[in-house]
Amino acid sequence: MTTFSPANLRNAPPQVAMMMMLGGYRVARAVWGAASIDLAAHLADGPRPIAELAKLTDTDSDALYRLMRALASVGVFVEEENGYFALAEVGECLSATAPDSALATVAAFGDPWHWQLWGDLTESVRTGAPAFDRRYGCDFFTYCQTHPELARRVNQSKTSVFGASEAAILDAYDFSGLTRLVEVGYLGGYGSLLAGILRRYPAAKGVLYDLPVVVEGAADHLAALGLGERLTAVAGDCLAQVMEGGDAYLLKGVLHNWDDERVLQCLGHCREAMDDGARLLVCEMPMPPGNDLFVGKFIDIESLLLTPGGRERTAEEWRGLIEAAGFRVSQVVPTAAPIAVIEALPA
Amino acid sequence: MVTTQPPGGGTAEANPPQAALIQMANRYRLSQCIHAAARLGIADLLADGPRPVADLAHAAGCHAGALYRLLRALAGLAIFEEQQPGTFALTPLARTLQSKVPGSLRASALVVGEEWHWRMWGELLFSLKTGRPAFTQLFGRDFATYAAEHPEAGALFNEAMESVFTLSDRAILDAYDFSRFQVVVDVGVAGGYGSLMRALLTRYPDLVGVLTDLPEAAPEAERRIASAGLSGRCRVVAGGFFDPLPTGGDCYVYKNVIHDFDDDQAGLLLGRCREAIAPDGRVLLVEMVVGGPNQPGMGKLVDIEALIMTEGGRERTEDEYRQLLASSGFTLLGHIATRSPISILEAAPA
Repeated sequence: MTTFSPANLRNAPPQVAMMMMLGGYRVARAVWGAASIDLAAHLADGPRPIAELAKLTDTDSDALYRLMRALASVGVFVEEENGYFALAEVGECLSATAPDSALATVAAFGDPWHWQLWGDLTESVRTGAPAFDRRYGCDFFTYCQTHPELARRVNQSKTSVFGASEAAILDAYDFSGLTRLVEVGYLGGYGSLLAGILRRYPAAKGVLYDLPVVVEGAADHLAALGLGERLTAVAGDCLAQVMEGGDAYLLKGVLHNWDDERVLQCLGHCREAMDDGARLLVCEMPMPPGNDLFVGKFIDIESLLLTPGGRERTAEEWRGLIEAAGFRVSQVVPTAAPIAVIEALPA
Repeated sequence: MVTTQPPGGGTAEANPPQAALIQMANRYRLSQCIHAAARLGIADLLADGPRPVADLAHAAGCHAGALYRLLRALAGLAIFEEQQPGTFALTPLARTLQSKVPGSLRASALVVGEEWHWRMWGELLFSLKTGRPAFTQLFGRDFATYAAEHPEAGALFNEAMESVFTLSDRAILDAYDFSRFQVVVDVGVAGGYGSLMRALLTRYPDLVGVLTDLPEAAPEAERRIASAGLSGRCRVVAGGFFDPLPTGGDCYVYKNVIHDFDDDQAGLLLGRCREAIAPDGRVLLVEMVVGGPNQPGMGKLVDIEALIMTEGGRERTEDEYRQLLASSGFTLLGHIATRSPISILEAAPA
């Protein structure tokens, strides 16, 4: 009854199911705690006893035991009979070096400023305004531009969790024939979608067009992608101007951070930069109608708290905005992930 | 902001490990969404039937567009239902957030997102590093002192405890036969206002009860006993944690009490019981008993709350309770599971 799953929630009495849902913050904070002290790094070579782990992570051994025992009960660690702890499969993703690492994401979700932001949710529902602005005196993106360390962490967390949806986009959309792709970002990660496309389509070149605060920190990340001069970065603010010369302009998870006015502003700059033969590729999560569980519904709450008017939109709402900016939506390509590729051509 | 699994739904088995981990790390968002709906009183506003979101927002004093987004997200987990576009209704889960219904969890949902509680959990690392309560570090005093200074926070916390306790009360009564006892002493020192005592006296009409509670909580407990019409069979005794206990009981119940104390203090408490209890009496510890390695159970997670909120409080395993009881002169007789996360540990004077 205490395992958190839809089946168990359905079968449990409402009070029990509600207690489990309500208690989710404990699991979340415990996972973040384990990420913060980088426990997985110390378990990479095999199980260790608590006393040793406490020494390595500079923690209190009883407190650490209680944390790891709790996380072993939800499948992150394995508590062995001899008192040693090991990584479970899920826990391996807490390692910075795992191919499917989620360390940066888990750390970002639980970052003190972010934890506090969610603590202000009621305030945002009361006012409809982002709680972030009230606490920090400016909007999130403005703040990031003067706080490069935060920008770096946000960007890194985006890069690390985009893997699954990017693979889905690559499988679903045919990028062949495109030779010069421009990924238009706004604190949008370090060009991993672009890199995925270039790997699959060897004739293509790509430019990451993002804010100076991103581009200045991007050199190492881009170099690590191993694409040499095929992948470059250009600094710019897509709310002011978009670079010319691409035959495809990718906007992935950018527009949902803004209100309609800014969405139109950005799309307008894309339109100005584009030749008539170029195409626009907007990758977003169209919101389904009805009561079904959908990840975008909670990301939408994050937008409410954090962004200047950002929101998840239905496919129809996206179409309306894109067409208002001078495009014609030619197709909406669903993917295996909740994300879709909305393809549009200059009208 | 990012592509992830929703904070509810999915299991570790069904998800790739990365998605499962991210989902866990995300679950606080759902907690906060539930809290916001509870704080705004949405479930109460829907008591008479579905309402359009504009109407709800007006009544709750909040922003209609933002409220729509909140309720749409919660509806994805069957907490509220969007019956027609923009019109929401209660569901069985949403009903638990109504304030004046049996089994209401509204107070619990309120406590989760209270500033002191959210900030305390934010400081988990302090407790991990030091083994000391983050609460005391943040507020410069322990929770009992804080609650005395902030009566509203204290009352809400007690209310939350009571509602959670009430849920387990029926499970306890169904799992354990109290009919052989004449006088039950309920040693309540952690709020809850004697909910178990009221349930017991109602179920067993010949039973006599004694309820002990801290001086600040005793009057409210007494009022509730009286309003249940049980004053004739129940005496309320106000006293400190370590004061001697009323004698003459053949059953002493510690419900969610021992877990608030470290072993030394818990030993002192049980020592008071040993002095007062009849030789053939029983002591019942009602607690979330922590299971063996890797076993799921709410107790292991609640234990972290004990770590960050209390000085020395902890959830214990059956073995740990056995040793604790033995050191106070009791023999553990049995461990009775209930259908709630709470178990009953039955012991007798050694």
